[in-house]
This record gives sequence, structure tokens and C-alpha cells, in this order.
Amino acid sequence: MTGVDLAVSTSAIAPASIAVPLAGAGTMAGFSWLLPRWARDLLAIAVALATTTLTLILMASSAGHPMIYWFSGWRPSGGMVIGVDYAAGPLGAGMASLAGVLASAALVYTWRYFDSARGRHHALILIFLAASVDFCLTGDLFNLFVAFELVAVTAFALTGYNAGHPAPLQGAINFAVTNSLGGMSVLMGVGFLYARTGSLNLAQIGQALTGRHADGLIVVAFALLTGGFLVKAAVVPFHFWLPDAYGSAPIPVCVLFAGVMSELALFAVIRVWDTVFSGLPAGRGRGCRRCCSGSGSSPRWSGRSWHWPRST
Amino acid sequence: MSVLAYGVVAWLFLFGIYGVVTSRNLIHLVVCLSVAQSATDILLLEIGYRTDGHAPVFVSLSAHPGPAVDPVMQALALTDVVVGAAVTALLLALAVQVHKRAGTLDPDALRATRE
Repeated sequence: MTGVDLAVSTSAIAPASIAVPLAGAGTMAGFSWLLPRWARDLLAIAVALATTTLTLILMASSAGHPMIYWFSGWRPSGGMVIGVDYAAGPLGAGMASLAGVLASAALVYTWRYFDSARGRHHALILIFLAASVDFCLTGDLFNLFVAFELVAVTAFALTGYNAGHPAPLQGAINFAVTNSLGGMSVLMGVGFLYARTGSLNLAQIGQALTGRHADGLIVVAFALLTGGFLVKAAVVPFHFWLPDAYGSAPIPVCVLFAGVMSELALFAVIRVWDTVFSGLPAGRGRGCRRCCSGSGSSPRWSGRSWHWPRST
Repeated sequence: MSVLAYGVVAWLFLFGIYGVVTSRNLIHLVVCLSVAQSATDILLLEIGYRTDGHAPVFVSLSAHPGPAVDPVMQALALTDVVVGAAVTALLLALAVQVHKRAGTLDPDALRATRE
């Protein structure tokens, strides 16, 4: 259990950093009609900033040694993972705090941008933030899929939000259909990996695959997972949905797409590669790893670079 | 049994995608997407299936000895059904809005309204 019981943390910061935005979103969705407009905006921004602070604390305290939090105390027993965990490292917590900063910025921008809204977009952006944080911190492959579907569903709703004419709706539909197909691909990859290793925990799957021959099933699972995440990241051969969605989404939502969603998907490729597949004998190459993380940081490979002139 | 299930998965998934690509109506498109989605559920259930396994209810083990099918895969399929329901509901709501605003459900006619 090399990767699993590194530093078991009982601190409540990791679960709190998703509970805070979710509670905020529930409050905004249920009780926002009781509050005046400025109070709703202030409350939503305060919740987003609180989430950012929590993830920054998490990033600082997990530097050097990843923090593992087991939900309800279901720790691994006898070498088998039986619970769902958060495995927060500096990279994941840093991505989560980036999502927090950009969600706060988007909420500040919407103060003037959506005048007729009755508080729904606050709840949607906060759910988007909670799902992004969940996605960055989770150590469970299926939880990764669910968190990303939640990010995507709130993003569809935000794309077609407050649409006065059909273009944003068409963009939202294209976006939703393409991303759902990507999500199905990810889910099939999750199923194949479970069939081979009998686990859904990223670290334990990686351990089960270490040193094993990369057979057809593992290669197909890798292709399905990577392909699904690259559809969501809109990296060049999979970028069909991107012009429709970016061209029609409201500007503060574009901030969340470009700044959070694409990066999250590339982060997922790196995380799944590094934790799950890098132990395979065929996956040891430093060149492969550099190529994988290099394409994550270079915007040239992302479909959004050629779209920038169009959206502004 | 097993080969048949995987054949059904491939058939449903490919025909669902074929329907999505060639669709002339947004409602039809959403239904085709649900068909493709159901392929993933069958795949998950098939991965967790054990021949002659009983349902994963462990209350009276002495009355039902022998292997059980994998409850983890059933939980995954159930969660996927929930995710699929959310996506379908949202897409149908968007299709209703499209019909209200543009008066058509044909994706190609809708594309023409963008310019």
C-alpha cells in the first residue's frame, strides 16, 4: 500500500472545501428570494472566496506529503481499499484553488452582467466550483467521472443560461451531446480498469498494474479514458463542440470554461497517467511523461487558441 | 451469454451514435443519446456479472450460499443512470426552449438561424 497510506489525515479541511460551496449553492437555490440582489452577490462571492482559502490551506499543508482523507473512516484493511478517499497533493489542491479564484472572479463579473437573474446563476456557479474541487481532490476513479459529469452538467446549463435567442441554446446542445459521448467513453474505461484490477481507487489500480504486461484490455481502457478526457478538454482532434459553446456562452461562463474546465480535463489525463498507468513497463519512458505534461501546459495544442479571435 | 452481452453493448453504442449523427430532430437526438448511454450501463452490469451468482443481498447468507454478483458495478450503473437522467432532462429542457425561440427542432435549420 505504498501510495495509499502515506499520510492519513483526519483534518476536516478536505471535505469542508467541497461542503462549503455545496451548502452555499443549496442556500442560494432555496432561499435567495428572501435576499436583496446585492446580498445574494456578496454571499456567493464570500462562499467562493472561503472555498479558495480552504483549498489554499490544503495546498500549503499537503506540500511534500499528499494528504489522504477517508470518508466515514473507511480505511483500507488487509491491503484492500474499501472506502472512498480524497488524495490531496499540491497539484490537485492548486488546481482547486485556481477554480476557486476564477469562480470568484466570474461571480464578481456577473454582478452587472446578469441583471434580470433571480439568483439561479449563483447556485450554478457554486455547484460548478464544488464539483471542480471534488474532481481535483478525489482519489477514486469513479468519483472522478461523477465529479466531471457534474461540472459538465452545470456548464451546459450555464451555456444556455438566460438565452434570449436560439444560438446559445444550440451551442449548449452541441456541447452537451459531445461531452456526454466523452463521458460514456470515460465510464467504459473505468469499467474495463475495474474488470482488470478489481478496484476503483487510483492508487490501488496503479499498484495492481505496476510491472504488469500492458495487455489489450488495459490499452483499450487507457485509450477510452484519455479520449474521453481530451473531448472534455477540447484538445485539437476532439474540439468539435468548442466553437459553438464558446461563441454563444455568456462571458463570465467562458471564464469558467477556458480557465477551469479545459485545465481540469488535462489535469485528469496527467493524474490518471501518473497514478494508474505509469507503472506499466511500456509506460516508464520519461519522454512519454514529458509529452503528456507538456501538452497540458502549452495552449498551442488546445483548440481554444484558434478560437480566441472569434469570441472577442 | 457473455459474448452476447458485449455484442449488445457494441450494437447499442454504435447505433446510438449513428442516430445522434444523422438526427433531424432534437428530441430524436436526445433519445438516441440515451440509447448510447444504456450501452455503458449494460457493459458495467456485464462486468460485474457472475454466472449463477445471486443478488448481492447478504442478510440470509445461509439460505443463499454461493457467489453473488458484484454490487459495486450495480452501484456504478445506478449512478450512471442518474447522471444520464440529469443530462437528458437538461437537453429536453433546452430543446423545448429552442422550439419556443426558433420554432423548429431541426438542428440544421437551427444552425442557419445563427448567421
